[in-house]
Amino acid sequence: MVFSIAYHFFHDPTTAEDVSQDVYLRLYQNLAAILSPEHMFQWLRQVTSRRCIDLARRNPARALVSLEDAPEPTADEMDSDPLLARKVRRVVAALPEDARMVLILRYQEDLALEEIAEILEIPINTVKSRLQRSLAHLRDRLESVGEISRHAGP
Amino acid sequence: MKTAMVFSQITLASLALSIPAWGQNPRLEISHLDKLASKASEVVDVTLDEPMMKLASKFMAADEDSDDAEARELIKDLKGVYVKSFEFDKEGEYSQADLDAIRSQLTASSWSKVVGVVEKRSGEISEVYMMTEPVNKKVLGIAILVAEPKELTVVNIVGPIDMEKLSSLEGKMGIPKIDLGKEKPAKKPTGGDDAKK
Amino acid sequence: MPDLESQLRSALKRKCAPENLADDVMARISSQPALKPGWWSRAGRLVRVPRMAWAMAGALALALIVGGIVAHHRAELDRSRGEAAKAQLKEALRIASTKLNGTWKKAVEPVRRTPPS
Repeated sequence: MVFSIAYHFFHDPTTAEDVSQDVYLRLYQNLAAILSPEHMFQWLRQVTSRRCIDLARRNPARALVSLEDAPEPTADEMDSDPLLARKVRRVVAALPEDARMVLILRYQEDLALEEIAEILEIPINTVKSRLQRSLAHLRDRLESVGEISRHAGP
Repeated sequence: MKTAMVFSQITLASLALSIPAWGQNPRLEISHLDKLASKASEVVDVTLDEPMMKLASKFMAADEDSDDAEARELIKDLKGVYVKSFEFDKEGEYSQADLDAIRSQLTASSWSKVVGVVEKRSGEISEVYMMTEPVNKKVLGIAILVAEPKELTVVNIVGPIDMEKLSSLEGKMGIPKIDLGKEKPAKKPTGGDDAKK
Repeated sequence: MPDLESQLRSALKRKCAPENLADDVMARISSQPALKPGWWSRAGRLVRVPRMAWAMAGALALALIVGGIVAHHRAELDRSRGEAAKAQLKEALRIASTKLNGTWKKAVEPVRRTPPS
């Protein structure tokens, strides 16, 4: 989960590993504050999100590895449509960091909007508007290259 | 259905003419086509061997979709499904040698052509091959080759596939139905001179 | 037609962490100061515990947590592999059916077009 959030955020496995190590180390240092396993997952999501967004803001050059060069992790799972999935990931990785994290928490972690608002410490309406704008942007980008329409039956 | 009957007759005729050969292997070698991916605007590359087929079937079983049930029945004894499909923006992106490397496998062994269409004007080729056991005629696999100026598709299904059931999947599972040119019913007379009589 | 949200779920499904991650984390932890006892210590019956034992217990707890997360990821990975295999199979059958029927259509079309003599 931690690695995956960071990977989809940066689209770079090396940065994702670095972030994951930082987060788990911080978990170790804060184990006393963890109340339960459920709390731990929530805590991990929150710290990972904050760490990713902070890192992206402090180092914009690192925040977005050249998408053409970014290696995909070795195939340990199959995408149903590898090319389309890769394009979707690229467009997501190019979004502003706040919107990007909302999408990742929504579609990777399958969190409700309220949960996302709590993790990112933003109002729920902000989550909604970021989500809507991101989806509209994605739709435009993918339709303009015929990705979504390709799947439409005649 | 008349179409199905004719299809069956062609199939049976092909089977009667098929020459049994030793060492029948219904798996085609099509990896040489991978180099076309970089030139294609759209690529579908499916390689499902027996373990992955079992896994897919297991997940289909978990669904209650009746269309999936039909597909599950179709694939239950299959050993593999392999598809390479490329769409190109312009003509000439694949070579005759690419095609010949596939067709040579289909003509030199115990494959039988079930139906083949060559459109001379456009150069389009559409062919369906079947491999069967020499004695009991059990289907060992099928191959479908469609070569158009801007598209190349090879489908290789290994195992006992029922082609009529495969054909009948259209209209289900999100597969659009292709009009096979069934005769339309005659129109009723709408009046005019006849009505005046 | 797969909608955008399905595509997003598919594209953003969890990626498995590299296998060396747990080792790297433990290596960094071993250089850290000892932990304060937390909720995981209530399971034990430690009354007086040397500082080193707390550090080890914390490291063990973290190893179990990370291991549990990895196991959870593996289960998720198996599920996502199965779903991906299913989607690939359906796509393959779709193409096979379409091409098969398309070929047949091309074969019968000239017969249909031929006017009766």
